[in-house]
This record gives sequence, structure tokens and C-alpha cells, in this order.
Amino acid sequence: MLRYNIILSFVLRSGLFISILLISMGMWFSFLDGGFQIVDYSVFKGEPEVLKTLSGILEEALQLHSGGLIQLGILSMIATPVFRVVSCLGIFIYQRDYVYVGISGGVLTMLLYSLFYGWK
Amino acid sequence: MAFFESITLLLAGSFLGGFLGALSGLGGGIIIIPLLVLWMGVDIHYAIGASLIAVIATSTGSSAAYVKEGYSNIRVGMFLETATCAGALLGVAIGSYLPTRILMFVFALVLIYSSLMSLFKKITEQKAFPSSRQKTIFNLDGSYPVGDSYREYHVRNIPFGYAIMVCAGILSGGLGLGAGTLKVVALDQVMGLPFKVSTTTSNFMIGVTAATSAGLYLGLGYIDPFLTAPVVLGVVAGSVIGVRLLPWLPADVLRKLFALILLVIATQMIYKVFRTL
Repeated sequence: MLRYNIILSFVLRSGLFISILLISMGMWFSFLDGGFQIVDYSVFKGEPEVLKTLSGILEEALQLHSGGLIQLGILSMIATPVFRVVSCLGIFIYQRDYVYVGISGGVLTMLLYSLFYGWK
Repeated sequence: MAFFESITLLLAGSFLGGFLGALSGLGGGIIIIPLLVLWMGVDIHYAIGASLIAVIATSTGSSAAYVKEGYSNIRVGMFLETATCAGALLGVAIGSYLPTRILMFVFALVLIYSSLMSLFKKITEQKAFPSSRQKTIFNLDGSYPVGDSYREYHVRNIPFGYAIMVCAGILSGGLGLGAGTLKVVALDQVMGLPFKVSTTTSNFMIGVTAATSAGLYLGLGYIDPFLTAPVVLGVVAGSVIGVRLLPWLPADVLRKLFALILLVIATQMIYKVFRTL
């Protein structure tokens, strides 16, 4: 079991590292491109389309726009627990523990549903 | 508000939130949301989005360390995540439907409850439960390291624990919290897991639960990059330092102090809800 724990720990650490790096980069870039504006958050309006869809976020991030980079970092932060569940699923398949293959599959389905629901 | 003033306030406030959250064991979200809502005038929907990402970050960071030590029970975690994730989906559906004022009121009630729990918490030695491993279909029982050997434990009251986890998921999704306190109560008090296993397993589950709601909120446009970035960086830095300092500080006094602060914040929040009626 210890070996599996090391795999899981590695997945969590790398995910966290990548997202913190992207968010910090985005914040740094925002000072340069003037993207960083604390606008009025007192009334909820919702984010623009480019910052809430996968294609929009990727496009913005590839152009090194600060908002897109931060949003990609946030996306990898959300994806880290998803990869953790995928790793567990892999471990349970390897162990032929089919009850837990089913359980992890259920958790993964809910995670993916929530990630892709807004991105029709 | 001036640009540099607000970014400094955001970073400093989130740092403090992460720091106190780590010291008190209550988590960062419970202090970040009132900070954004009361002192920076942010709508609670944006605050919930930013808080959830910070919750994922702190949970991921600390569970990476705990998982390696072999305390967390991955089977129990995964099994109960079916409950917390379903609850989270429901919580987002409820939370995104409720108007700001009602959300704030519910949040204040949760604040009061958790601060009272924290104030009157008694550190009790766990009773001796029949704790040998038993073979069941879910195979939840496990063992944890005590010194050089491993001690086995048996997981009890699964349906009741499961029901509490659904509620923890709803709170997490609806209010942007980790709901760690409630998760630990279910694992430790109800299901009879050893305390150290409960806290680490709860931490392990918090990330997956929060990711379920955060995915939906991202798609719904609740997560603003320029608000979330300083919040996440501040909370992560604060909790890293908080965890390091924990052994040298009087944790019990700090926990009680923090609970009193939360009570004051809750009162302020309720005042704000009714002032604008």
C-alpha cells in the first residue's frame, strides 16, 4: 500500500505545483498587460464566455493573456483531485478490487459531469 | 477602492485566513468568505468561487503529505466521496438558485454553529470499540501506524455516517466551504475511526468534494481570475506557515480566540443581511 501512497502523493504535489505556477505567472503578467483590475464585484454578473469555457480559457492562456493563464491554473487546481481519483481507479483495477472500481468510477463520473456541464 | 490597496488587502487577508484556518483546524474558507463579503463588498457568489479554489489548494497540499504517512484510509475516503460529491452537486444547484441575502444568512448560521462547536469542544479519549477487522462487501476497515507497528480498526454506523456526508457535501457546494469539521465528526464520532485517521481522511475528501462544485461554478461563471489568484496564493502561503508554526503555539487558546472572532463576524453578517431589508 505504501507504494500506492507515494504515487498519489506525487500526483497531488505535481498538480498543486503546476497550478500555483500558472496562477503566479498569470498574476505577474497581469501587472504587465494591465489585465489586473479589481472591478466592481459587489453585484454578481458572471464571467465572460472566454473565461468559463475550456476552449476560451486555452485560447486566452496560449496568447499569454493574464486572465487566461490564471484560469488555466485554476482549472489545473480543479483537475488535480480528478487525477487523484483516476489514479485510485487505476490502483483498484490493478488490485482487481471491482467493488471499488465501481465506486471510484461513480465519483469520477460526478466530477467529469460537473466539469463539462457548463461547457456544452 | 484603489488598485494596490485592494490587492494588498486581498493578499494579506487571505494570508491571515489561511494562517488562522490552519491553526484552528477550521479551514480557510470559513474566514475568506466573510472577509470578501463584509470588508471588501464582494458578492457572496464570487466569494464562494474563490474560496472553493483555495479550499482545493490547501486540501491538496496537506493530503499530499498525509497520504505518504499512511494515515488516511483511501477506501473509506472514496466510498464516502460518492456521498459528498452527490451532496456537492445538490449544494451548487441550491446555492446558485438562492439570492445573496439568504445565502449570507445561512452562512452566518453555519459560522455560529462551527464557532460554538469549536468553543465547547472537549478533547475526549476515544472509547474502546470492538476494533478487529471484519470482512464486509465494502472492505472499509483498516489499520494505521502507531509507533513501529500497525493498529487495526473497524468502521461502524456506515448509513448514518453516509447521510452526514451528504449534508457535508451540500454545505461545501452551496457555501464554498471545505466542511471539514462536519466530516471529522462523522468519521470520528459516528463511524468510530481513530482521530488521526479521521482528520487525514477528511482532508483527503475535501479536495474531491470541492472540485465537484468548483467545476460547476467555473462553467457557471462564478470564478473570477483576478479575485481568485490573490486569494489562492495568500491562503496557500498562510496555511503553509500556519502548519509549520502549529507545534510552537498554544493551539487550544488560539482555537477559542478564533471561535470568538467567528461569532463576531457572524453577528456582523446577520446585521448586514437585515440592515438592507
